[in-house]
Amino acid sequence: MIHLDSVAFGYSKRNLLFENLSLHLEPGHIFGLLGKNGAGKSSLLRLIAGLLYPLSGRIEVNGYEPKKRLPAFLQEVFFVPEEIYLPSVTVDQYARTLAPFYPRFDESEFLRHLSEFDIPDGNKLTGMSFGQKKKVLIAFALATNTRVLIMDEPTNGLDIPSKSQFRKIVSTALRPDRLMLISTHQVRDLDNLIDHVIILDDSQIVIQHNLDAVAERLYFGTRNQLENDTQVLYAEPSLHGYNAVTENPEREESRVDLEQLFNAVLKNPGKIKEMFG
Amino acid sequence: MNQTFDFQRFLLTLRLEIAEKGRNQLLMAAVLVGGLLLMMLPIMFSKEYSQLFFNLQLIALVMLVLFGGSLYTAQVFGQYNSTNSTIVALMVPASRLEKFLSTLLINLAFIVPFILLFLGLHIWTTDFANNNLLPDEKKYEKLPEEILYAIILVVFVIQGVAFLGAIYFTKASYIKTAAALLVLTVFGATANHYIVKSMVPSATYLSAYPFSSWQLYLIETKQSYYIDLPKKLVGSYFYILPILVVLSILYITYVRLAEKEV
Repeated sequence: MIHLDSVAFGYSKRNLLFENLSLHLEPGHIFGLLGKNGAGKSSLLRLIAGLLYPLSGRIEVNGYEPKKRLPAFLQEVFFVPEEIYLPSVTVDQYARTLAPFYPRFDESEFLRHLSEFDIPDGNKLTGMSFGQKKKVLIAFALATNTRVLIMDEPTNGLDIPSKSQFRKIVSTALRPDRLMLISTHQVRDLDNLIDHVIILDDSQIVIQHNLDAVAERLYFGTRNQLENDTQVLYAEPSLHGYNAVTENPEREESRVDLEQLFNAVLKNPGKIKEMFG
Repeated sequence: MNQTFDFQRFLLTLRLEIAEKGRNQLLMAAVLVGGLLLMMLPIMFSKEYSQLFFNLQLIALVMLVLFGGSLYTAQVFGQYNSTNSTIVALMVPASRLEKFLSTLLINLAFIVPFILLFLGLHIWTTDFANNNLLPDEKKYEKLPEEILYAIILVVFVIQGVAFLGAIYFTKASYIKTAAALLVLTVFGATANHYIVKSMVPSATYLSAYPFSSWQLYLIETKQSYYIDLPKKLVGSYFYILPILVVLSILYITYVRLAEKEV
């Protein structure tokens, strides 16, 4: 559904952000795009949405070239940016004017998501808090039922209850023909939501796997001590010793901790690439 | 479904434009129309010839029709002024042509009636005022037809430039467009002046602006010369050039919109 082949991109030709970047994402999954601030997450999402043009290489989304911005492409891609803009209209007016552009927009679904997010009726969008506006946009984005849903830092500005609501609502909106790509630097916000992880570091994709494959190769657990433990990729002190990410030659079962995985990848990008290559 | 232009989608795009910007544009239009009425109507209420009231109409032409109208136009691409609103505008599922045409149509829907309102008011109020004047009073003269035609063309060229500026400059587009136009005009006039000077090096007094006649004073003959443009050429300049300029500007604006990245 989303294919990037040998893509090069930079805000200037002399200083490339991505070089020879390839990525293939299939529908039916929620992909988490993780990376530090400035790693290039937003630029990658904008390339996929056709908001930025690659300098070379090929991008194909749902069979279309994003940079052409054809209506048929835009009908099937919804982009929720990090900083949002909503016009000075009521929620109803917003839905009435924008929804007809999306052939599979489901009004009842939109209203249901609004009520799940506790958005009051009839309010003007400009009179809402940033978090409320974001929730309106997320509710609308989900109700458009586009095949591709891209969200850039969607949990920024959401309070803690809203973050868990967000995870619940998004996970129920996944369908076999739908792909969701969510970027964040607040890794914990995507816990129990994503089934695939893409980690971007230094403009390179270090890891691009489903969480089962991650759990097969890495073990997330506790260690009493770390000395001479060559299998440890990352560790942080905890009440019971150390929370550690280690190699998993025995294929032991453990639950992937996204934050620890992220730190392990950033600490040992070479080793992780080798393990997952 | 046609990916370049679809009438149903175009109507939706128009509706979206009106929902987002209609209120602001209506307010601005109301201010401009109100200002126009205030400056155009006083001429009707005097039984004596008043140069001030007549001049008010000329000021209205320059301040409101030329500059006020272009200020209105400078706001038309407001949705592309910030990164956040640009993302929303670019992601609306309509073609580039539909987005461009809906903005242009909404702009013309005010600008054309506004110019016509000025022309109508000018003709009607002048006739009305002349009928109302005391018998011995000097009569008001309407602007000649050629001047009115030239004004309409200039208005459209300025509108076109403001339209392009609105998409080209994201911040303070009106000021930047005006500055760019001024620099371009000064540069064009200076270049034209020097080209003429190089062609007639012995002329001392020289007035030569682009697309206009020359006035020269030759020292050797101690005579002034007025060199007019050939009549055929004037006709072409007058009718075709502004239209070509406006069409070119609109095309550049469309390309700029189509290539917009954020």
